[in-house]
Amino acid sequence: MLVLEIEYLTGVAVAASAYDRTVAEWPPHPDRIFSALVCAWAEGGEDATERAALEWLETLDAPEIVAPEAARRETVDVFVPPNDMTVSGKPGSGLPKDATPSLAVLPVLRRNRQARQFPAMILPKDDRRVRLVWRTAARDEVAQHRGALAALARAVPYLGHSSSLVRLAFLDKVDPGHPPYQPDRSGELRLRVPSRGRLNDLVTGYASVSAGHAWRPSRTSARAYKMPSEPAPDALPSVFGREWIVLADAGGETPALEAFAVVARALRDALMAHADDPVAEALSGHAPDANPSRDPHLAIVPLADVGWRYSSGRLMGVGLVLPRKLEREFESPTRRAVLRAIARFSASADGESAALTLGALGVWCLRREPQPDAQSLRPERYCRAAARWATVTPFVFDRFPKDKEGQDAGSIVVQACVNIGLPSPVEIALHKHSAFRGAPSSRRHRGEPPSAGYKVPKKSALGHRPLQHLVLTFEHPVRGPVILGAGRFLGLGLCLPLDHEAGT
Amino acid sequence: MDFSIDSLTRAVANDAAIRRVRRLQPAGGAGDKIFPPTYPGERQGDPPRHVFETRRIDGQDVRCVLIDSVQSQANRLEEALLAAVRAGRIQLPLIEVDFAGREARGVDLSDLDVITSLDAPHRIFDAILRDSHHEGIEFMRSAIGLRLQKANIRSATALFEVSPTALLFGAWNSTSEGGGLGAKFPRCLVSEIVGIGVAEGKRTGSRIDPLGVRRDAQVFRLPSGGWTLDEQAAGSRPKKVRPSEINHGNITPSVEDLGVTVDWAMHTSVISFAGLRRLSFPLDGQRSKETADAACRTALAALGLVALSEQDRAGYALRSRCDLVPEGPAPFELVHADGSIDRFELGPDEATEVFADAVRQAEGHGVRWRPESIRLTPQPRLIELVALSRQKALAGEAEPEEDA
Repeated sequence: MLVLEIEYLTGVAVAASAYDRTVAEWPPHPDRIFSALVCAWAEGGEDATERAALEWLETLDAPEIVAPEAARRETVDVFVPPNDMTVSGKPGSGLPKDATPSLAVLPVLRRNRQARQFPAMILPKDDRRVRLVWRTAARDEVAQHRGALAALARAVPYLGHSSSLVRLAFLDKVDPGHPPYQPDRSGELRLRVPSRGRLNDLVTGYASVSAGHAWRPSRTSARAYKMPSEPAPDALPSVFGREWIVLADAGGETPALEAFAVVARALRDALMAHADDPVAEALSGHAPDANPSRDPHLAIVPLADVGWRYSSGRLMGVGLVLPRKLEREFESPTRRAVLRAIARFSASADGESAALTLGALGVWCLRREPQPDAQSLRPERYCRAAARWATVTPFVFDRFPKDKEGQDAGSIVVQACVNIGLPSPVEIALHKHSAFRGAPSSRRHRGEPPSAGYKVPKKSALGHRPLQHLVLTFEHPVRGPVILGAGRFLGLGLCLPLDHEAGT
Repeated sequence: MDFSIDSLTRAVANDAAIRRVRRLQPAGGAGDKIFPPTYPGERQGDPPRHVFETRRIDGQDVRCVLIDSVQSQANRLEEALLAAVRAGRIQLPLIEVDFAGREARGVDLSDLDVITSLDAPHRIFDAILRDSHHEGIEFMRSAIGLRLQKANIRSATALFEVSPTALLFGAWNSTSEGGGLGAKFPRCLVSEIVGIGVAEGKRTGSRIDPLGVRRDAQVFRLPSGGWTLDEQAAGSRPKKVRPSEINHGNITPSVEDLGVTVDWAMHTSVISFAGLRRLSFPLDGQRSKETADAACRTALAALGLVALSEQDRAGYALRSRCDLVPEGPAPFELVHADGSIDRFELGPDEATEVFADAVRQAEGHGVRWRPESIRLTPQPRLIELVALSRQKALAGEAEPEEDA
C-alpha cells in the first residue's frame, strides 16, 4: 500500500476546475497532484531515479481519495493591474490621441484592471489533510521507489494556485478517516487520473514550449469515482428492483419523452406477445380474473438525457424494472418467464435488436445494453440512496385532489410513497416544471399546440388524471428506484435524487 | 524551541514550513462594525458585496468573510518592509524611480514621489521600472536589467541581489518573451485575514450641505477649470453642470448592505520552505553550491519573518473603518515534513537580528546585495505625458474612455 498525504498549510485550496474556471475543484484530482510531482522532478534537476519512480506511479490503479468536506468561498471578480503598458513616442511630440495606455505605466494611474477569479475551497480547521491511497501497490515496488518519492514530495510547495501552500509526504499506512472517494464505474464524479505515458507527454509538451509553440497540458482521461458514502442508517428500499434491463436506442424513430407512456404500453404489449401462455401476472399487470394485479409487476421506465448541464431531454433508452422481490427469487418460474419474454423480444428483429412498432409514431429500434457507457443509461443514477428526490416524468394522481382532509394532493402523494414501500416524506412540493434540465414540464405551456404535453395511452385508466412534477424530502435517505403514482408501471412518476453536484 | 540562525538554516533545509495563526479584534473593541473589502456584484448592476464563505469549526458551520486577501496582504507586508528600511531598522536592496524635482511644461510632478520595487504592482518586472532609465540606458537593457531578464528559478541570483522581496512574494517577467512565457517566481509567503462568525450590517452615506446650495442652481464650467454663475463668461459653448458636480449641495442618504461584525478575525501566515528550496543561486556562471543556496534561502525565510513582525509593529489599519488589533501574542509553528509541529516565540527585534545574521551568512558565501538603492530616472516622455494630461484635467477635458 502507498499513501500520499497532502496537508493544506493555509487551510484554503485554491484550484480551478478544468471544466469551469470559475468553480473550485474538490477533491484535488490525482492528475493535478501528479503534475505537481513532475514539476518538482523537473525543477530538481530531472534525476533518473525520481523519473523511474514517477513512471511507476503512472502504472498504478486510480487511487482512493480520503478528503474532508470542504466549503466553497464565494467566487468574485478580482480586478488585477496589468503590466503590458509602455510609453511610446518621442519627447516633444504631442500627446497621443489615447494617452491612457501610456499613462497607465504609472501605478497610480493604472485603472485598466483585468478581472480574474480565484475560486477556493475552505477546509475545516482541524482537518486539512487529503490522502491518496493506492491499496494495490506492491510492497517491494513501494520500497524500491520510496526514497525518490519522498524527495519529490518534499519539493512540492503548492497545489493549484501558488497561494495554496501544501506539505506532501508519502506514508506506509492510513488511519481510517472519512469514507473515501472510490474509483467506481458506476460513480457520477469524473476525476482526472494519470495513465501510462503521462510523464512523457508532459515532457515532450514542455519541450515544444521552449521551441516557441504555445502549449497547455492536455487533459488526461477521467476516471469515474463514487462520492464518499456515509455509513448511514440502512436506506429503506422501494418495492422496485435495482437490476434493470436496459434497452438502448438503436435507431428508427425515437419517440419524444412526452409520449413515453404510450411507448411503454406498446412495449408491454410486445413483451406479452413474446411471452408463453398464460402470460405471467408480473408481466401483464393483471390477475387471472382480469383485475389489476395487487402485487407490483414489471415497470417500464424511460432512460433519458435529463439532469445534466446541457441535457436535451432526448429519450436514449428504456429500463425494464422487475419488482425487487421477484428479482431475488432466482429459481422462481415467474422470473424466468419474464426474462425469457424480454430476451425473445430483444432479439426479435434480427437476432440482436428489437423493433417496436408504435403505430402512428413509427418504428423504434432497441438493443439490449448490459453494460451501458452513457451516464443517462445507467440505472445506478436512479437507484442511489438519497433524502431528496424530484420527478423526471410527472406524477399521475390516482384521483382528483379535493379540499377535504385526507384527499388533498399531499395525502395522495404520501399514499403513493407508502404504496411502493417508502415512508411518508416530510416535505412535498408540487410544480408544473421538473427540477431537472431537459425534462418536459407536466402541462403544455401557453401558446403550444394541443398536441404538446404528456400523452397517455388511449383507453387507459390514466386518461384525464392530473399530472404534476414533485420534489420530495424524506427524513432519512431512501434507496431508489423511486417511481410513484398511478403511472408508475408506464414510466410516469420516475424520480431522480436531488442532492450532490455531479461531475465537477 | 530556541530560535537562532542555525536552527533556521536547518529548518529551511529540512522542514516543510513556518506558520502563524493569530487572533485579531476590531480596534474599536469586540463587536464593533468593520468594513471588509468589497467586490463587484454577481451580475452587472448588482451592488458591491463582501466575499463570504462557510467554515466548519468545532463541528459547526460558521459564516465567515474575507477581510484581507492574499494579494492585499502581500502589498501590506511590502509596505511594512519599506517602512522598516526607511526607519533604518533593516537593510534591503531597492530599486527606486524618483520623480522628485521632475517637471515638464511648467507642471511639477514631485508629488508622484518615489516608486520603489516594493510598491510597484508587478514588483521588479513592473512597467514603471521597465520604462525608466538607469544611467541613461533603458532599465531592461542595462547591465542589471539584462541579468534580470535571464534569471529563472534555478538561477535567481540577480533577483536576490537586487530585489529579494520578489522571490518571497512572487514575480513574473510577463512581457519578456511572447505569450507571457517569461520566468515565473511563485510566492513563498502566503498571508490572509478572514473574519469568523459574521453578522451582516448596513452602510449609510449622505451629505448635508452646510451652505444649503440647492440642486437647481445654474452653474457653468469655465474652460480654464473652475466654475462661474455667469453664462457669458463660460465661453462660446457654455457647459452647464449641477452643483454636485462641483462638490456642493446635498446628497440623498443611501443605505447599502455592507459592513459586518465578527466574533474574531483569523490571520494565517505561512512561509513555505519547499518553495524556497526550489530556488538556486549560482555565482559567476558556475553551478550553484548547496551551501550558498542554503544561505540565500535562509535569508529569504528570515526576511519573511521580519515582514510579518514589521506588519505587527505597524498594526492592522487595513482600510477605512477596518482597523484590527491582535488579541494577544501568537507563537510561530515550525511544521516538519511529517506534519508534527514545534512552537516558538519570535519578537520583532529578534527577527531583525536573525535576518542580519542570515544576510551576513549569505555574503560569506559570495552572494551579497547592493547596499545602496539603484536609482532610475523616469522616461522624459512619460513625465511629459503626465504633465500634459494634468493640464488637460485641470482644464476640465474628459478623460478618454478606457477599454473594458
